[in-house]
Amino acid sequence: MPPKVDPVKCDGCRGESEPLCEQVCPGNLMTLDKATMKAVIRDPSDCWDCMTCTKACPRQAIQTVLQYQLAYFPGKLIPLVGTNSVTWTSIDCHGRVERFVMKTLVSGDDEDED
Amino acid sequence: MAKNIGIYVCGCRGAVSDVIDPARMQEELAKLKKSVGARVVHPWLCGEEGRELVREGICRYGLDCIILAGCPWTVNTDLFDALASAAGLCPEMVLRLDIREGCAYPHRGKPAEAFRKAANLIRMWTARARLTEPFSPVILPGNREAAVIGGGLAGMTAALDLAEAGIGVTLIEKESYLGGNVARLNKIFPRLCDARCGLTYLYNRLRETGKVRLMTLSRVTCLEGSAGRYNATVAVTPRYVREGLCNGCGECVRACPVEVPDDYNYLLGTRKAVHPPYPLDPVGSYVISRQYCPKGCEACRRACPAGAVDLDQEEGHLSLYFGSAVVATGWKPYPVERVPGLGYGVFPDVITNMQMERLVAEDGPTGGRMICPGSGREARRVVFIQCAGSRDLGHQPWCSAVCCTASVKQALYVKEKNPQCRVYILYTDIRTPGEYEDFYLKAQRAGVVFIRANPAEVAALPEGGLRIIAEDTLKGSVFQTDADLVVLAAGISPCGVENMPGDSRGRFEGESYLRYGLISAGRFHTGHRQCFPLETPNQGIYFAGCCQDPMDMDSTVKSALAASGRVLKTSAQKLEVSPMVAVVDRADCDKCKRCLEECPYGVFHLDKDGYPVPDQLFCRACQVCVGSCPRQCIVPQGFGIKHQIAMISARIKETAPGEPLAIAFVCENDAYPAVLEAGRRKMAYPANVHVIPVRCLGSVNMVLIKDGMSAGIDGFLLAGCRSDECHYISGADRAADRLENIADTFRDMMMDPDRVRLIRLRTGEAELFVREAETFVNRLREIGPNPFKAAVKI
Amino acid sequence: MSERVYIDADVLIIGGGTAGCLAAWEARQVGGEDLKIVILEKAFIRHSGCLSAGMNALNMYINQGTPEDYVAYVRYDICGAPIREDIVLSVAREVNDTVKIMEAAGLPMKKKEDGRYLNRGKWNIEVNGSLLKPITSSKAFEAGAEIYNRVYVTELIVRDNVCLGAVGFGVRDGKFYICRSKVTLLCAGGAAGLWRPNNRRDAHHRIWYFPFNCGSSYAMCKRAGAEMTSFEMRFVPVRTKDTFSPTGTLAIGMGAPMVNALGESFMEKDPYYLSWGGHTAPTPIRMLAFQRETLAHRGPIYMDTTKGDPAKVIGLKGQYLDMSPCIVLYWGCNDIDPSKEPIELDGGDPHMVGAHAGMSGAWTRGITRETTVDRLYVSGDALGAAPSRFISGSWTCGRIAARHMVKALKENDYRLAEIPGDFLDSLESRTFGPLRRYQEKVQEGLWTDGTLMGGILPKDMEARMQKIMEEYCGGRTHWYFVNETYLDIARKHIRRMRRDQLQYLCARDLHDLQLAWDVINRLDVCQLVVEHISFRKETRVPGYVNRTDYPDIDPEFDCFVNSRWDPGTDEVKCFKVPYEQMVKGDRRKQSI
Repeated sequence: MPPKVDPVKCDGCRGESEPLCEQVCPGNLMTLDKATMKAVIRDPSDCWDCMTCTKACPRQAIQTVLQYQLAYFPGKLIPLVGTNSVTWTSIDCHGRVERFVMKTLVSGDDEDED
Repeated sequence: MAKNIGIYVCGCRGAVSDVIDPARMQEELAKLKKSVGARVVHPWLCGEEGRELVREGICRYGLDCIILAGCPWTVNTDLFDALASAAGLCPEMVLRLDIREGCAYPHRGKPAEAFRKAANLIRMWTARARLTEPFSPVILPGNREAAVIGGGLAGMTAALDLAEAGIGVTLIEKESYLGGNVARLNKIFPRLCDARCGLTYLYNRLRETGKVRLMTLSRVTCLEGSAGRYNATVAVTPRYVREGLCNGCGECVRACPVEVPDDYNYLLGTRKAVHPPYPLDPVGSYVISRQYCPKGCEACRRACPAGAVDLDQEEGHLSLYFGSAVVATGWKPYPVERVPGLGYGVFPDVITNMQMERLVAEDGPTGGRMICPGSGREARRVVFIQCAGSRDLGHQPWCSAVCCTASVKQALYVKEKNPQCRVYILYTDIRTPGEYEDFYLKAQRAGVVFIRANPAEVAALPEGGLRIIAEDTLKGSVFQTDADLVVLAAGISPCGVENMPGDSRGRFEGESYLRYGLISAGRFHTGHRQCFPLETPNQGIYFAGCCQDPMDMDSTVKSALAASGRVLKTSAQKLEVSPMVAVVDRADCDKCKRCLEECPYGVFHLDKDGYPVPDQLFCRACQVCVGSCPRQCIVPQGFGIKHQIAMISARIKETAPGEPLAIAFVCENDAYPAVLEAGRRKMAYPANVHVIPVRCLGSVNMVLIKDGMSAGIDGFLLAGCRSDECHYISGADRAADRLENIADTFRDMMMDPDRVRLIRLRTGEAELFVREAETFVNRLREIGPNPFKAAVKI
Repeated sequence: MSERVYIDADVLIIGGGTAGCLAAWEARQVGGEDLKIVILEKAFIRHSGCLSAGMNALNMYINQGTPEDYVAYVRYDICGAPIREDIVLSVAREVNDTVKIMEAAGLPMKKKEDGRYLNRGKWNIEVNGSLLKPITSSKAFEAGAEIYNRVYVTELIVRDNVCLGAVGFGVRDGKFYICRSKVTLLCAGGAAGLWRPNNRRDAHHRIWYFPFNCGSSYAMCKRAGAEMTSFEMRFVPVRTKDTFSPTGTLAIGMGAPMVNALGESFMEKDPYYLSWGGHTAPTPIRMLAFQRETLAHRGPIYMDTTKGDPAKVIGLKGQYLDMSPCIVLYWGCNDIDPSKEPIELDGGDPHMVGAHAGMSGAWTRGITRETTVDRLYVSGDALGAAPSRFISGSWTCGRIAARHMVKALKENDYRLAEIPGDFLDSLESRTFGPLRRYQEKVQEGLWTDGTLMGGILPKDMEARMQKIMEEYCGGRTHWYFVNETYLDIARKHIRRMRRDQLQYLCARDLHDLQLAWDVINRLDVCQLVVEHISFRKETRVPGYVNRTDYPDIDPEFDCFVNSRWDPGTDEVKCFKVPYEQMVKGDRRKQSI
């Protein structure tokens, strides 16, 4: 599921170099296109689909898209990463939506009784 | 982290308890277990008995943080601060929670919902309290020395004021003399006294203090650092005349073969490349303008009987360290040759208002006689053209503030010298504010003719003299008039300093004039004038005089005194800044550099490892960086992102079954007063809205909305200032941009983007808040619950 | 010459992954405040490596029984092949402690009502491991290690069989990094991408193992002259078709059995599989069964998720989102509902992974994790002959290595060595070789498509290498079969590539340089694999390596196959090392 970067939402992390996705990619695949100042993957075929960039993007500008050879079009999987949790929205190729909320980190704060 | 929290809920003598049942509230408090050491519901905490109960509770239970739920923090602040300090608690450990204006008043028609909301708020504030810690002071090294850049009226005034307060001052002036433009004025209004008289008085007192180092022919070429530790590089141009040897005989001037335009007289006439000292020259020896010397010419050196001329002197560079500075770089006349049709630079008898000052001055090139520079004739018809380059979008969009009064003054010069002389002033609007109005009447009485006009062209007449063709904007007709001398009211163009810190990336380029006031070649802007008066983007540097705004001498002196007053604040060996300045937690930072880009003041720079470092002295503690950081690793002391996350995740419940749960982040400057006002006026708005006041809307991090989605919050309302009213320049607009982006993500996620909404409120707009809150909650009801409430939870 | 960065360390950790982060933490615990710990990390430590996509379970945890029982299980799961029982035992003894440490670091553990961890069988617990890597790396931050991100280590500095540090290049800054150290821990992962992956084109990295681990641990150890072990013990995964997502979630989590196209639960039918325990047969046997069923034309093979609790299926998706999120989208876009239809399986490309169900790696002295090169330690996938440590075991292995390193530092007066300048120069020119070569080769001209007339780019070389391994060293398309004839061809080509093709390998930029080193390292590992498989003239672990010329077990080979590389002749010399059984009992049976 190589990352696809939305040119409208991506702001190149507003910096002059190394947007966050480039900073975090385990495969050194993301980079900044200096002409457009938007993030771009060097080679989509090299992506392992770990979704680190997708989760890290503060503008949710990156979508991981399944390779067409593997699955039908369209379909989306969108993580929205919170502090101690993440929500996932899975939209299948017929537009059916499934949603998930998962814990990601124990913050150490016990909750109060309901 | 507070380990033992006391929760005190006040009934406010019925104002709260009539709506929110105290007995049930007591039960509700019992559910809050972790780190809570006292849970009290009391009829009236402000009363003597109530306060004693709190004080005694703090001591008995060893409470390290208390929540006072009752009236808003604006009420009885001193009372509770005193109470806390008597019990040994610092004020930041007293959390005030408004359940009166914020809950009981507006929702009194729906007590069940009001109760639930109050319980929710207490739960949220308890989560906040657990993460609350006393402030550690942030103290940074400072420097008591100050610099004043620019030795005109503003600079001299500020320098004197600082020196008299005991501060060591270095006054840096680019010319060889002090006094700037004022020194070259003939008379000053409104009393038409001699400008140099006042300057000399100022100069003598400066000398008397013994605390001012005067540097002339000096320019600041680079300014680095921040308040308490500025470092300027100053370039000093040599005089090429040895100070101690020159006896002022003037042989050199006679020997000098080159005539050069006379800059002291605003290019009216010529002088030699070597010239005698001008008035208010602290050195008092002759000066050579070396750039005009022909190659190899040593005429002056050979002529000097004292052997004082030294043509081998070199430019000096020195570093200057100081804690704060006044920038009083003044102004220069707008280059009116750029305004086509007015004939400046084409016809020698078209001059500027500053040239006019020199023309009529006794020490001017004509000895005070009104001789037209081109024709050589005495002027009998003088036409003043106002707003030459001012109030003109193609040139300087601003009104230069002084030219109307100045032209009135000069018209009076003319009438005084020759009452027969015909004088016309072609004006756009006459602006002679305050007592200058008398001055205007005086000119009218003296026979000066004022015509509201839009001059189209100045042309030369074949028989000599000039013809002015203009549109009479009152009559709507074109007229023409002839003149010997045309005086253009050249506007005030501010002067800057090169290479100011924070300016290196051209950060302020393209910001509009209307938003920030004047921006000169140095691209100064003053930000929010009422809240941060005279401030540059750099803490510890303040504007004085015309470099920030066109102003008359009266205002210049006042602004200089105000600036020196501000300098006193940052002029100390140690500087204590707000404890809430930005702090980066490097362990969590991924070096994305977004904070650098989003900080409205450019306080961040990168260290050698690529981590952002805030300059805490620059920092205004607006927390816009906190809102921007995708890693949430900017963690200033005090209320901030960690607390907000805990509050969002405090597992609050719907105020009534099936009702949407909404959080409102509200800017404490503009929007929160409007929310308070709505409560005070007991205007009903939906109890669904739980208000969290924040420092600036720009401090709201989007992770809060993401956390809110997991936590089952149905919608977020962000209330902040209007675009051009944000205290921190761009906070509210940053929030708008971020919110628009997340709304777009919601759309991708097949969720309604209306779950997030930004509104802009002024302090008094209580009704607008109520309307917006209703609209928002109604919309949330329409779109149904947050879909993640029903999601699979793993 | 490139700009140089000189770093000195007491403890140098190469690879900020599962083992490395915990090693840093433990080193600080036992080594005290003054210890200088340096981590060189190829990517960005918070998100790098095998854990970058998260993980929903810890496959090593002693829920019941004793550490010895775990050793017996591991031994059984590799079909009773020889393993380093001392090492596995040392990990099993403290793995539960390590998990506690990670829970305290913020890892959300799933728990049962009685407060105990939610287990999946005897050796397995479930976690919410979406942030497993950030949490793991937080231990390195906590340790105050000096972390250098985006530094690709190319060579160890070894003189007279002593490891004195390492060198590498900055992936972003192009600088030459020289780190001298007193002790060095190499834990840079296993090797993916030696064989051709199942998917092509834009999905070619849609594989089970982390594709950016390219065997640098093994290659650097080998080039350093360390004794290597068990490179014939590769791991061949049975995974969900197309996405190659882990199947433990289905098999152990849901109890979904493998079935064939006829719906037969063949593991419970065939006496051979039954002799191994049926459904729960060792990993290689399940792989073997998959191969045999498919070759017997009873494919496709599935995991039957339809018999379980449909509510669990929703949970299943959640669990995959924590680890291999793409499968959720894959199901969504292929109209697959796991509660209504079984999940199709496929055999993936083989991987060299010392800490998972394979056991390739460096040979170590006792349980110290020190290799046969002095002061060079290994952990994680780099450590050989001790399989089934997985994540929690690799954390633990890092800790154990750190303790032995600190102990060695305390007992010996190790000093930072002076590295001769010409030696560093040669390492530098080797490190940047492909980059500099490109500058030379570009002079020879470019074809109109922009490719070099005089050189080869890393991806082309990778394709050639993968084709050789796939076709002559038992790849997926050859059903993992090999014989000596095939191996001879593989040996010939791999040698040829190593000897006279690397001189054409060029890198256009620093990213290419990284890819170039990936292929250089993998070619080194390929050589080890070919020689080891060739040396072990038997089929001890069917399913992983099927030798058609030696299809049975030979008691002669009830030992480890170790090897050493001779830099003079470029020969890998294999030899036998006896196996020592510490935990008593039938090696082909679990003890509980």
